[in-house]
Amino acid sequence: MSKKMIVLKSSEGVSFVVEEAVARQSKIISFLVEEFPDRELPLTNMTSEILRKTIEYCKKHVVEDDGGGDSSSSSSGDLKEWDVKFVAEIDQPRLMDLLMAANYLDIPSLLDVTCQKVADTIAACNDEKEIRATFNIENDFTEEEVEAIRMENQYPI
Amino acid sequence: MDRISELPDELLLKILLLVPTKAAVSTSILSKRWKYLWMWLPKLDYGPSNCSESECEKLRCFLERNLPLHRAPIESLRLKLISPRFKRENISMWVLTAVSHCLRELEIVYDTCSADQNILPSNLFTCKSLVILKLVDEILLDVPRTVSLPSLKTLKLQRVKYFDDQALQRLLSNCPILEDLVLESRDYDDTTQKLTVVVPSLQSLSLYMPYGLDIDGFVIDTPCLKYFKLMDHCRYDHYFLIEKMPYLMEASRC
Repeated sequence: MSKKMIVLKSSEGVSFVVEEAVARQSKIISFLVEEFPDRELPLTNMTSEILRKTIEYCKKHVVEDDGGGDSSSSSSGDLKEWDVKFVAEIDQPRLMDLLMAANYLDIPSLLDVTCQKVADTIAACNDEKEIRATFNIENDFTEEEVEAIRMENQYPI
Repeated sequence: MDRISELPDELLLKILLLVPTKAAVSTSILSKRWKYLWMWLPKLDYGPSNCSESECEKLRCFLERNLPLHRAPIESLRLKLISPRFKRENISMWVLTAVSHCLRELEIVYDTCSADQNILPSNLFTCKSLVILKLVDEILLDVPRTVSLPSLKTLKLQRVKYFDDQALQRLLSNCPILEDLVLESRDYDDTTQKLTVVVPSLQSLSLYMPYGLDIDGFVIDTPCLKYFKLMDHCRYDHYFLIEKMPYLMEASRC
């Protein structure tokens, strides 16, 4: 029996044909395919690149989730390793896009791994200058304001 | 382009929760967008164990200033305070503040080489929202007459000093849904004659008695217990009065 497929359309109008089980990792898509079966779903705020990445993640996870059985504990370890590698290979701006996509499509496990990656990056920075440089954050404080915050929060800063 | 600052507060807080609290607080200096974000964190974990004297003083001043100003409910507060700079009145006040911020989980590790001061404010013992309480090291447990911890499920007391023989039982008998109890006695402690654990709701009990503990005995009455772990390294003779545990599934002794 052939698997049920659905079509997801990126902001550039590129269509991705995906197994329904894969796409249903997203709670939003899961809801939409029930409400509007046999319709292609336009994801106007997701680029093809990010949609492709999101689908890659969902494919990997749906396979592992179906695997089940006695090997599930080792496969969940492998899956964690795969997740770490998956986010490690993505650069900062795309990581943010992927995080937003996970949030928008409501894919909790993808949101967790992307948030963890951002948190690890912040924690690995030596000081605020490094965090600003890493994430392109503009310092909009005056020097006096910075000094005041330093005085108030001497413990961590 | 600064993408991270465009994330909604909810996502930035999710990220900051995964960062050590100290690093999360330090993001307040990044930009105006970040200045007050950390003050909405529901979980706070302060004080590394290897903190130097000047660090400890900074932490003390910081907590004194900022804890009362915290904007979110403090679901979880963990304090590891290894310095005499942290005075009884400081800690009492911080716990008091946390209790008034809907505290659910409190863990205090306090080591200043003297367990003679009562650092716990009496309103901690009537905190309705408290689910988990862990007290470690030189903490004097003086339980007030009025105790009511209706939500407490997990209690861990490691090497604390009991004010008197009734302190522990007075606490336990006012925790109606307590499920998980870990008790580790202080080594070379000869101030306690008898430890009584009578908890009808208890499901898991771990007892650790170190080599130098000088105690007459234990009374344990926990009819719903499922897991019992006993680590009895005590060199002195002592008795055990253990009531029936018909639901016991796992017991270990080492």
